[in-house]
Amino acid sequence: MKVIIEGVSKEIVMLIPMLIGVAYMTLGERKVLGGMQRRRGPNKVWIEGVGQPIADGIKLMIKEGVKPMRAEGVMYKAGPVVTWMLSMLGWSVVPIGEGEVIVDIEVGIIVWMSIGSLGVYGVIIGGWGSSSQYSIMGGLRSGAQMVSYELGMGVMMICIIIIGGSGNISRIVEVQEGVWNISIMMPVVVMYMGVILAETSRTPFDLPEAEAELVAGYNVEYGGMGFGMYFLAEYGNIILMSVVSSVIMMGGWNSKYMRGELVVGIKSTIIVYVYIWIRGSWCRYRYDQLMRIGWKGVIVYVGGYVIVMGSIMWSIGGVSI
Amino acid sequence: MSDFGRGPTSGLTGPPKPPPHAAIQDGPPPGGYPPIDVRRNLPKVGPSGSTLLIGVGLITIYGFWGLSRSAQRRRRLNQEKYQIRLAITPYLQAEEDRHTVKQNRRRLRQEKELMKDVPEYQPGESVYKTRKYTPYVKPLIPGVGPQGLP
Amino acid sequence: MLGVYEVIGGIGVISGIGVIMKKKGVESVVYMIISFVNIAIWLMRIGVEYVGWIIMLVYIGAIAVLFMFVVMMLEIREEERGREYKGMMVIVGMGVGVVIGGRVWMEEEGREWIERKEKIGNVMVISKVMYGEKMIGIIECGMMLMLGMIAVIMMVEGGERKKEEVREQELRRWEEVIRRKE
Repeated sequence: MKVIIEGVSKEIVMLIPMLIGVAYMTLGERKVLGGMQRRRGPNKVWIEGVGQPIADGIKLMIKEGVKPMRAEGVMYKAGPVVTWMLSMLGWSVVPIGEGEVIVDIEVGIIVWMSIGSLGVYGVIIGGWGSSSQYSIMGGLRSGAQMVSYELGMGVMMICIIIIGGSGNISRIVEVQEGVWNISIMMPVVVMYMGVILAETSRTPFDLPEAEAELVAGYNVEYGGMGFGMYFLAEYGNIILMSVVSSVIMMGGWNSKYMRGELVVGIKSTIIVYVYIWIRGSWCRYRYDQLMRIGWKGVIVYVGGYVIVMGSIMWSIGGVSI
Repeated sequence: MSDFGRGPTSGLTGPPKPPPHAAIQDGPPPGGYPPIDVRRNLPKVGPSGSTLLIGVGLITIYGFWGLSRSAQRRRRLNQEKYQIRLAITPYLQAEEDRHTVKQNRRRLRQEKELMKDVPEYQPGESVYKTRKYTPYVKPLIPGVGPQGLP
Repeated sequence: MLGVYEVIGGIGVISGIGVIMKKKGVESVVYMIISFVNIAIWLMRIGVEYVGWIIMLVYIGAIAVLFMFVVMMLEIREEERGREYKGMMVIVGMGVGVVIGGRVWMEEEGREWIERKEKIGNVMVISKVMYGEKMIGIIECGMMLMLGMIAVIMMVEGGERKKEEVREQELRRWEEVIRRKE
């Protein structure tokens, strides 16, 4: 019983700030995009639009969810729930400070990757369950994209595991006290950015939401809280991806001057800003270009870099904790 | 091109004569227009390719150098830790053996006491029907032990 | 009172039955995923986390997604599948049950390898058990998998499928064909 209470309270302490962060990330995104296009963004609710996310959330909650007549009942309802749940579950192995993690296990990176790979199911179940052409096409596109780019992500994670000598994320941070992993991964760091953009289906890889061809992708038929859950999961995934990138690539909480959590927060915020920046300045790839980049570009080059880096690490003698 | 089939007098036979009043017409400047520049004129943004390549190479080399240095440092610390541990191993092992024997006796006594009503019960017998030997205690030093495996 | 192993294994077996009982292809795949998830959790629970998470990553995250893609694309008709193979299925199931049950019944060493995991490590014990002591069981599983593959190929290729004979069709309405070819 004590274990359960402890685990639940840890989860709550971790998740509620994350949900608030998701809410305010939407506001920040709209503000930054507005600034890039020389307008002011939302500025009506409270002071400079601070209350906008809360108003949006309340609107989504009190809105009626309309189920399409042809939709498959269980699948239609399960889609958003599965996506949201897996998006929250990913936080269980990601540390945000020294020892500040819910479970600290040896295969942390693999756990995080496999939870991320399960996230495909929510999307394709929801897209199929809606019984609409647009949503099933969006679901298939999204699923194919996520599955393709997971392989690139996996090869990147092989690099990280070779450098860290362990799959435990805390140990990977411990190894980075001298230099950050980003300097070792520098030849593939642009590809890493592309892969994390594609994994969270953001611009320039936001093919699932191509408005011109598919109305809004896999979540056309959803309204109210169903849409809200997909939305929360998407932005939660972005924040999770940023935190993980700042932890495994950018040195984590190693700092002499500040508290570790603050350092991780600042680094993650920078990565989230880069996400929004890319959305503000780039256009979308075509689908065949997306697939070509994934299969013929990222996997091949990063696989080659695994060989180069592995041999250099072997000559160094590996890192031993 | 042959002129087969065409009438002998059709078409112009010479340059047309200019009209009597000289009209001013837009035309090319004397010597013709300069050649059109069809090259794409993109603005040069950021450092050049070779600069990027060299920069990335330097950063990567710095990264591997720093990693090897921190790995060496950590290896020295680990070596010290293992040496300290090795120095006090006999004492720890003796304590451990004594403790094991004591606890075993206690366990056997309790088991005998508990199962005294069952006649066919052998106290101290393993519940698994295996002939493999597995030691009671874990190795004190990881990597140094009966299995020789980390 | 049921333990954790019984509950998880029971859900796994029930959803495994659901895979072959459900009429819609997509629902079958969903049941298969539930079964896989339970197997993975069971493996994590007995202490081989690595294998459990690899099953989660590879089988559920990649292979079952492809199954689901294919099934969604195919639009299989909602009729009872494998009606003509029912008798054979019962015989094959009984055979498999006898083989696996006999193996479990004759087994001498019970859960001893779970104990040994603590001593020589996770991966090593799996390799020793899978490719050493229980090798015959692995070969039996491979045989069953091959049987399943042969069955699928038979179902696709073997049956009395209606083949389109172009020449026959042309002969059937030769007048029109000749008129068109002129």
